[in-house]
Amino acid sequence: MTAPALLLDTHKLGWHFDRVRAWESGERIAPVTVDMALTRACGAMCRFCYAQVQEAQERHAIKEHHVRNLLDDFATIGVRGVSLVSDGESTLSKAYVPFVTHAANVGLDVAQATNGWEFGPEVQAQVLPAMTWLRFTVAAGTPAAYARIMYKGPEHTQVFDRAMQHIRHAVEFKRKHGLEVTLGIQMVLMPEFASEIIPFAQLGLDLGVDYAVIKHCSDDEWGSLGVDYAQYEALYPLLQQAEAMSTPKTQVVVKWNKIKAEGEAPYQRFHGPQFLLQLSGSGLLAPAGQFFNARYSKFHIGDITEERFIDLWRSDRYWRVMRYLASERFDARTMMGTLPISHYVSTALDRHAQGVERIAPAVGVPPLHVNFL
Amino acid sequence: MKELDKVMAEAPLVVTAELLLPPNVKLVGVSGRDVTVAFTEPVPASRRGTLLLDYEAALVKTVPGAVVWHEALGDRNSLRNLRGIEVKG
Repeated sequence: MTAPALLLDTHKLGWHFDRVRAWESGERIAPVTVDMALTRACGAMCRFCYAQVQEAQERHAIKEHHVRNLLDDFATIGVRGVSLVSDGESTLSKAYVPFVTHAANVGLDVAQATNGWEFGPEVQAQVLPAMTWLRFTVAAGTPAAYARIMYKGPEHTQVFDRAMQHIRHAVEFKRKHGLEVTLGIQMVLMPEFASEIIPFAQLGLDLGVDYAVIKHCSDDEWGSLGVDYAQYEALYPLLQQAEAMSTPKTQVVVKWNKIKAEGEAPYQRFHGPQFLLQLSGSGLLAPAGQFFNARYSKFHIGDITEERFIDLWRSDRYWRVMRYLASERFDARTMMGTLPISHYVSTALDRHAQGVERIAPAVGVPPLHVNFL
Repeated sequence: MKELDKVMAEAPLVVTAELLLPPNVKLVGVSGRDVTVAFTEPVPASRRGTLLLDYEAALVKTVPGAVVWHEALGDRNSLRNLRGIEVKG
């Protein structure tokens, strides 16, 4: 039997064709996946972090009863997977462990990205058995560069040591208990980090994680983070070299489709959020992380600490915003930041809607993480 | 002269944008078809989207293509702020 594939550089809509068909016929569909955070707080200060441009008007504390209600609502309407990535370090929230365990209890696939600094053995034992995948943000392959990019300066290598200790423990915990969770590390590549590409890939092999992925860096439409997309092409040989380091145990993956997009959206209408929705760690519901900042207030739908998600999803507010994004009023090329989390999904749906390339029902063995689009 | 042309071209939108401003909203600026506003008091997430979409819908009846934005906010995370990143919008 063929092993499930690890798909990190494409979408999985073919495995959710029922939802695609319902969307096409104009139904109000539930997202397949919701990505969110439990807080806007973070103990790191990553140079590449998109959260630096995502501040909304207010931050509300997301508490345990909010997440229980939220997850119950997700399960009720048909959400299939929920990930904790978005705009904050969710392990800092008191609601974190209850979130993961409750998500699994109500039948949702659950996953997470983390810097791993507060992800010690006790926490791991509580959440890893419930998780589909877990990805550690590892900005570089060497301690000094890691500390320079993710923290206050190259001398603060204690954060690297702490993260590596926790990642190694997670790898061992998975092996010892025979868990199915996929463990990965991720480098968010800015062109100036080029010298860390190969050390990062080597670190992935040394740690024994399932994959080490290298992705682009998103930026807002003014380039506030200073990402120079024109510089990526010069890195292609290094990226190919990194991929070639893959072993049977650890796959080194480059998100070529996003890197080669050079910060340009190939679509104008933005259909993706109907399938892959985002929530801020501030409690704000906006269709995508690119709309969390106060600038995009017209796309702010509500707050999960003030209203039940199911009511927000059913509201005219929600669908008015979704219709706007899918209308000729909106142009993703100029009205939002680059390469959102729903980039692959939005590209595929746009091509489908325009008849350029129709999405077909998938056949065969479903890939890993099928409920994370 | 180009600056004057720009001012003249934007004048109808500036006037309309001022005239149609909802309560508790102030005009920050107009550039091309982009109208930037700010709330003068806190407006909950449940109301601000509808309020600004209604405003934009009213504006486009007079000035087709007008697009409404709220003033951007910078990161309030004190640690991340040490990076010195400023939202340029």
